[in-house]
This record gives sequence, C-alpha cells and structure tokens, in this order.
Amino acid sequence: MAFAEDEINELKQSFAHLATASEGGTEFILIPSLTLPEGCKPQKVDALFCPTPRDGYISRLFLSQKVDHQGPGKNWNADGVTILGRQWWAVSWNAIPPNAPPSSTQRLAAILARQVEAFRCT
Amino acid sequence: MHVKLKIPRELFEKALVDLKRPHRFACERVGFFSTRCSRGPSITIVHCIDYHSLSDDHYIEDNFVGVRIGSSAITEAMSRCASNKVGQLHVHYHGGHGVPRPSHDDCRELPLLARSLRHVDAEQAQGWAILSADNTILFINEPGQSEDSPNMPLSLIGYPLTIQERADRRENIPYSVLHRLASGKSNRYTRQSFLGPDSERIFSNAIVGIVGLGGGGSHISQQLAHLGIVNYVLCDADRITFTNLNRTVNATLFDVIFKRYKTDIAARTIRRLHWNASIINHHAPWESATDSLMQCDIVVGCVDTFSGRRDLEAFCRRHLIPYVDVGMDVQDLGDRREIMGQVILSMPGRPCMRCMGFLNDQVLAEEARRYGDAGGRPQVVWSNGVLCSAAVGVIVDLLTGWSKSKRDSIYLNFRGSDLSITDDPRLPYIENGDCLHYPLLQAGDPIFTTL
Repeated sequence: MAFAEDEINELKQSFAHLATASEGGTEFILIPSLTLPEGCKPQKVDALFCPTPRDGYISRLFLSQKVDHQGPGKNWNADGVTILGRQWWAVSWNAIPPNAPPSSTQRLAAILARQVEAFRCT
Repeated sequence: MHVKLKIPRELFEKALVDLKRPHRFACERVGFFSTRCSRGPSITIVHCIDYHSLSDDHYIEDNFVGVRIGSSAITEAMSRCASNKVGQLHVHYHGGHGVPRPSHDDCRELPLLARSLRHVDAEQAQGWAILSADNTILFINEPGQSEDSPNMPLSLIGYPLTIQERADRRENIPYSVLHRLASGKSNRYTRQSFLGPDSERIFSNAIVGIVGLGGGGSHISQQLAHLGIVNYVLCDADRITFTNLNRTVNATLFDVIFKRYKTDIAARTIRRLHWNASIINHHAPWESATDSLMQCDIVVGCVDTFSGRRDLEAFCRRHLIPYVDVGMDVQDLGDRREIMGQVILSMPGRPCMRCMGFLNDQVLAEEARRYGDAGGRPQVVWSNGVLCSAAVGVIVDLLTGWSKSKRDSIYLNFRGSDLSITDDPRLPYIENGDCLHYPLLQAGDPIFTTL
C-alpha cells in the first residue's frame, strides 16, 4: 500500500469501509456512500479518490454519477470514464488550485476535505 | 453464460518448460496456475496470472500412479486461494500432440482436488488441465458453479495469438449463391495464402473490437473485412458530418444528409464483403460497451485523446486483450508543419504505452489543460491510411504469425514529410522488461483491499 498508515487511520475515522486498488500504476481509494455538502443532489454517492497527480490535477475525486452542486463550474471532463472496471465522473474545474502545496506534502484527509468542500462554494 | 480461458503465452511456455523437466522418481511433474476472472453479463473470462512450480520435495514415491504430490503442496495452493483471492488450476503434461487424454487416475483424483479448492473459494475458477506440446484439455468450473465445464475454449495471449474455435461460430447459413461465393469453396483468399493454411479459419474466428470509426477506424474495418475478419465490435457515439468526409473512407454525402452513425457506415462496408458478418454495433462511447469489448481477441483504438488511450489500454490489460493504438497529429514546428503518428501494440504483461514513453503525466496534463478548446485537430486521409495499413499488418501478423517476427511489443513512428515509418528508438531498451503499471497479477475484475 502506497499510503502512510496514520493517514489512512485518520481517513477511516471519517469514512467507514474504505478500500484501495491500483490501476496503471496509480493507487485509488474507494469511498462508498461519500456525503457531499448540503445542496448537492444526490448528496450521497460512491467516490474514487485519487490523492496523487492525475491529468494535470493535483488530486482528483471521481464520483459514481454526476451531481447537481454549488461549486464554481458545471463541466465534467471525466465523463463516464472507466477506472477499475466501473464508470466515474469528475468535474473539470480545479477543486484544489494548481498553486496549492503539492499533494505529497498534504495529509490525505485534508486533500479529500478540500475536494469535497469545493462542491459547496461558488 | 459463455466461459473462456486465457493464458499469456509467456506463462504457458514457462509452465511447459517446468513440467517437461524429469523428476528423480515421478513420471510427471505438476504445477498450478493462479487464476482470476473477468465477469460480464454474458461472459466469464478466466485468466491465468501466475504459474507455481512444485519443488521436488512435494512429490511422494508411489509405484501405482504416474505422480503423487503431498498434502503440503495442496495446502499451499489452498493458501494462495484464501490469501490472494485467486483460483488454482492444477496442471500437468502428457507430451505428444493434439488434445491430451486424461488418464483413469486423473479422472478419479483431480476432480476431488478441484472440489476441495472450491470449498476454499467457490467464486474463483478452480480446476485442472493437461497440456500437450500444442494443445490443452481443461476441466474448470464456472465461478460460482460446483461442477467442471470440460473443453472450455482457450486463448494464448502473445505472439502469435492462439484462438480456439468459437463454440458460437455461425453455422447453418442458408444456402445461396452469395454464400457459395463467400464461403471457403471460392478462390477468394488464394492471393493471401502465404499467411498460412489456418489463416482463413483464424480470421473467421477472431473477434476484433474497433473503438473510433472515423478517419482511422474506417480504414481499419475496411481492410480487416477484405482480409476475411467477420466478427466485430464497433464503438463510436458520433454521426458523420461534412468535416469528416475528407478522411472517413466509404462515407458519402448521403450519409451526412441522413446523419448516419459512423459505426453504421463501417458495418455497411463490412456487410458488403461479408453478408453474414457478426457485428455488434454500439452507437455509444466504448465505456458503455464493455461486455461486448471483453469478448474481443484484439481491440484497436482510434481515439482522439491521450486519456482515452490510457483508459482503453487499462481496460484491455485488465481483460488480457492485446491493444493496438493508432493515431496522428499535425505539429507546428515553427517554419513548417509535420504530420506525426504512431502505431503501438500493447500486449498484456509486456511494456505498456507508459513504459514506452508515449503516455506520460506531461501530455495528459497538457491535454486536460486544453479541455474545452474549440475546433477539431487536423486530420488527413493519406496519413491515416498509411498508419492504419501498418496497424492492420501488425494485427495480421499477431493473428497468423506469418512473418515469424515474434514481436509482441511494437511502437512505430510515422513522419508525414518523408512518409517514413520507423521503430521508436526507446523500445529496444524496454521490450524485454515486465510492465510495472499493469502487472499480470491485476488482471480480471478489480480486487479492492479493505483498509
């Protein structure tokens, strides 16, 4: 496993039933029934969290379906992509600005929290 | 439910070398393949992902049978099942050619072993197989089933591909003049007989998936149909437009007027050559056609994006399908423009497009940065034609092995200004290595590890 044990334990305090798998040399974390901020429809979706850089993004949060949300943009550029045998959607806008500290210096829980919070604010 | 077994050729040959070794007292040697499954609504594919040789001390001297192994060897196999979420395929070698015959002892003892393994994990494929020099007989359960299914079709994944006769091959075609003309009784394929005496049979059994039926895929499907390939899975969500007519072969003005799907145009071309062709036609992105694509022996990707290539290669690696990538781009060199293109053969277990340096974080990031840019990228018919002809050459060699090149990793670069196709200089440095991005152990449906 590529992630530090204490960071995984920190994540597990917020999310039950976490699982990990790798594809194409990238490690993903599956988060069943992730709760998105209020106002998102639906508010609970499965999520596939990629904490490492992918496609020019510092990290990415793939959702099992498109959601209506209050985030800064409406476009989805990962539109039904197949990862680990299942289709996923991810927003095109940067939930974490490119000038943010690199993900390798951030804790997993903090990266995921920023990804999720980005669906709240405009 | 349709079930088939896939073994990477390298693993199959490793097993043969091991099983042919003489033993101090046993007449035969025994090994185990670890297996994983890909499951779709209508097909289950059993993949052999690793081979386990048995050390000499696992054998027990017994004058009444050819070979007897101790309980510790079986315990080890059971332990692999339980801890790695894999199935186990007991395998031994009978020598000779053709389909091997199981002995009386095999039929008595090995089903009991398979049943014991199923008690450890019934959701995986457990069973036994006997190899000859050129064939195999298999007794393996469909995952979730308790009984063996004999004579499951086997594919060897490597150069050349070995594709066994399809059980669902179309027969009983009504007699007609057209059928007589289209059948092997005609001299239709005499000019390509150098491809081997089995080439017609191979082409009629192979299933080729083509993703993207525009400037690239239209050439590929047309050439494969001329060669005698009759089974296709075609995926493209787009309808033909005026801007496609400069390069999509066989597309017409009427097709644009009637807003025909690109896959329908390709299917029409194929059916004009093979009226009984089997074509699964998806007017949709390939991601919604994975059950059909899983069944393909080769997938050809003529997609527009690097991320699309990465995702399609990942899918093919998971289901042990050789992937052929074709693409071109026009680059601005300042004082002039240059057409650059590539044909890549990405073979499961061998270097992937990342290993080859074709895909990397930089090109994927740059592509994502350009997201939303208006306008299509330049494409022309002749460079697509050259690249696709090279790709068809790669496919035919892979299916028939006619050239004896034994090349199972290919990366060709095309340059439009001098119409040259050359081997990428990086490939010789990596082609004998294993792929770290898509290890064989990750084949089959994804296995998530609970944290």
